[in-house]
Amino acid sequence: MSFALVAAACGGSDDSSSDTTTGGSATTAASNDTGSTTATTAAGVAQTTTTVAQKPKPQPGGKIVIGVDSETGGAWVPAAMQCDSSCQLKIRTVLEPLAAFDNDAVSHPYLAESITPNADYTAWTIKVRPNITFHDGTPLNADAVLANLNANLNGILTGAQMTGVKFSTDAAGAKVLDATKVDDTTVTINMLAPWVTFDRTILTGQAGFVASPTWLAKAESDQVAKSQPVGTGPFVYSSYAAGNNFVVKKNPNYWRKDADGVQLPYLDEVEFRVIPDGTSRASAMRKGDVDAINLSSGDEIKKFREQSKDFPMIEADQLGETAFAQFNFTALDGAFTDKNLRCALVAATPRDEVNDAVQSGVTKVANGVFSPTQPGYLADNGLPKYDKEAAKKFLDAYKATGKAVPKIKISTTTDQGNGTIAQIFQAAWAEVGIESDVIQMEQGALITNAVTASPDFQVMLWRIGGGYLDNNYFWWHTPADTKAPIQLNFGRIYDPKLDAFLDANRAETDAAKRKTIAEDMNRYMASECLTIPYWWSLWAIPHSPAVQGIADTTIPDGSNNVVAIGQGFPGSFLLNQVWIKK
Amino acid sequence: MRFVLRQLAKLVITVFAVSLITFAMLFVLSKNGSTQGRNQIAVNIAGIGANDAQLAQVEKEYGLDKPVIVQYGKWMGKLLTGDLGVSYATNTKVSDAVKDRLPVSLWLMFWAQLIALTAAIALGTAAAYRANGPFDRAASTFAFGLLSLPHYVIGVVLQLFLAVKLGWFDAVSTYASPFDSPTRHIKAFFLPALTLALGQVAVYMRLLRADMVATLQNDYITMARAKGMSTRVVLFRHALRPSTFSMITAAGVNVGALIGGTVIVEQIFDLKGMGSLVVEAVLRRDLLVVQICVVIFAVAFVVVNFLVDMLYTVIDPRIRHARGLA
Repeated sequence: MSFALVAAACGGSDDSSSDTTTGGSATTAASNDTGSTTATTAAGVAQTTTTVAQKPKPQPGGKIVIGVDSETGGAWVPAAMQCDSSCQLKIRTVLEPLAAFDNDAVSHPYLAESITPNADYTAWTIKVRPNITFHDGTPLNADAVLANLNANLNGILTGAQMTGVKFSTDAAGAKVLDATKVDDTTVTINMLAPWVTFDRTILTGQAGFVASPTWLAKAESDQVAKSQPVGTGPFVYSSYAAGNNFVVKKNPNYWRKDADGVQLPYLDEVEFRVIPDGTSRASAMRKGDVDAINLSSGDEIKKFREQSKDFPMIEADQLGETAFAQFNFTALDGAFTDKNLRCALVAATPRDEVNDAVQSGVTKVANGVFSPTQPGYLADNGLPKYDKEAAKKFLDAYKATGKAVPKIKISTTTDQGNGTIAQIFQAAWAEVGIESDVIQMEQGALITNAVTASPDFQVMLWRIGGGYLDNNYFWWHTPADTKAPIQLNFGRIYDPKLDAFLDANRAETDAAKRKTIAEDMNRYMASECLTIPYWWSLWAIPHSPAVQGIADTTIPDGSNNVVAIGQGFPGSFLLNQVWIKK
Repeated sequence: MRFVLRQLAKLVITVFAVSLITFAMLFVLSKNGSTQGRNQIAVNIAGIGANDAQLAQVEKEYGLDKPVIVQYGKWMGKLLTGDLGVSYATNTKVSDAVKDRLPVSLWLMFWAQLIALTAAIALGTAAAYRANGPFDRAASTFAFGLLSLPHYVIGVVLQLFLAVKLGWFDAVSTYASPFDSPTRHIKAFFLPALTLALGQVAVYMRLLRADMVATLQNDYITMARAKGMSTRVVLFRHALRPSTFSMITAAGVNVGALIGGTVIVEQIFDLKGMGSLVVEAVLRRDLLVVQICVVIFAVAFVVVNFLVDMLYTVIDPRIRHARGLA
């Protein structure tokens, strides 16, 4: 089960010749952070689709059921959602962002008509499309954008992403954006410092969702209203039974039409059914209980590849997540602040074995938190390889300082695969003289331990969101208040060098230079053994042959959007152009 | 009548005790009512991401600044008026979750009991009729075999063969009301109910067999046979009813085991009932939902056992009269 706390924005138009993304224009010439053109970047996208080559005409109507891997914590106010891949899939039927990515991870305006920075990137002007209303009739305008961005600025999760915006504090202690309403559809947001990637980091993801301000106001005092989202999306919220299902129905007044002028969406209804166990979800797919599922289990992906005739499947790893073990620097009297102990654990971990045992070798063994399609990826970043003798040497160096080798708790979720990983870690570490216990708990409890840096969190198996480096700023940057009880820098790794990389990247206008910064950070993290990475995620969407159009989904300017829904959540896809072949 | 009232009084006291213990669970877990503890309760209810305003709202709603007894009264008052509160973890009404999930578990337990009792009566009667014969020995061995198998083994094996390999039933069960779609209802419930029932069959069958073997030694049975009544009439009309006390008592007590079983079985078949609700709530530390589930389970248990007590008097009027005299 994958999870990333925050929908950090990824990929975007980082055209060195033009920094303005304008609605309606297909910026096919834009280059992205990899420094290559979109055409070549596309080659990095692992996308396999066996849907029919000749596109039949979409047939409106019908209902599909999608099996998803997890329930969403804090549903559905954007500022409070713990939004993973399944959450993104669900909520994007109701809520839409100001910007979105195409398949090449280039950002384009979505609800916005244009998103324009000033000359030094210290202010961004957002103009929304005219004549769009929320499902409750509230108009989408500058006030709605401000209400949402202000709400998100005050959210624990989304607020952590928005650290670079300028704000003041009102009498009630709430943060208020330093922003100017230019006209009824336009606002300008001021930054603390140049923020070159603000559009794609913030506006494409969770913090960029625009919900009805009327609903947001109601949800302030009505707890139940929080679970009944109101947006501008192609589907209208119908019902939600936590842990069971989320049902949405066609929005007859949706603002988008397809290329032939047919009203979107095609489907009448979508039901998302929560089936956490990957094998059960796959079984439900094979038996026809559901029409599509999201999947990140290597074993099941492998089986579905062999059944591609019966179940067409889209695979995606673009700007994907990394599965890794995170150290808590405050645990065990700061034992993990010692580089030798960390490197001993890295060198003692058979990462190939983990990948083979749990993912059937389907995913690639990771060497850092920069996956192959992310800027910053290096085939060899210098991370210590699996070598028991080297691990013992690191451990001896640690012991030479007079410190005892601690017994370590490895915490992870209740997922069977994660349990296996933890057991492999445990056995391998024991071979070099490091004892450990495996503790499995529900994901919510794991996150609580992580955000509070509980002493029970010592080494935690986790996945970090993909995307560009700036999307991961808050995971690694020293927070403004290091004493804050809740922090998204889980490991409390307060490292000035990491901060310098992240800040330089955020302010750098040259994509090639940003790529270099990311690579330098990758090397640094590897040399410091700051994580134990073990694989780069792969997501797949097997579906019934009757389900059409997943691969044809577009964003408003016509760009294709299948795998790059963004923020390193390639297991998600948009449903506004999906239809059922009758 | 006095007997019924006495049983009802016991029921009320038990439910009160359970509710008190359940309420205390949250209180004890939260540092015993100190100011810090009070805030901790609010944090537990509202979730770790709650801001000050939300915490204040929770404190007010649950009277966390009031004495414990007032808090309990407030909580119980809400419970009795059907206001089960709102889960801050899911932002949904607990009553909605219960309304959705309770029928699933009730149907599951109903079918499990029906399968178990039907099978046990057939097997137990046949085994008693030819006590110590080959069928009796085979049935006893089979029963002990089933008893030794936990739900999670039976469930997974049934799922693998009957759902995945043969495709006869749903591997992942989706609730359908028997009134809306009887076929889908049976497909969804057969395997989970059978999983729950198999262990119970063994218990009920053994009890019925033992009682019936004793019953069949009675004079009135000999008399019935002497009158030329058929074996079926002797067994099912004359011997069965007085032989069912132990089995019915076990069926009542076993409601607790069934509730425990639903927690496992609903997980295996991904059936969204009260069992899976309590597991989800425990895992996400949603104490309000856990509290409500525990109270519902407890009430269900005592109510069923109250009904079983009432059933004794229907099965054997002598009990009613004896209690009346006492």
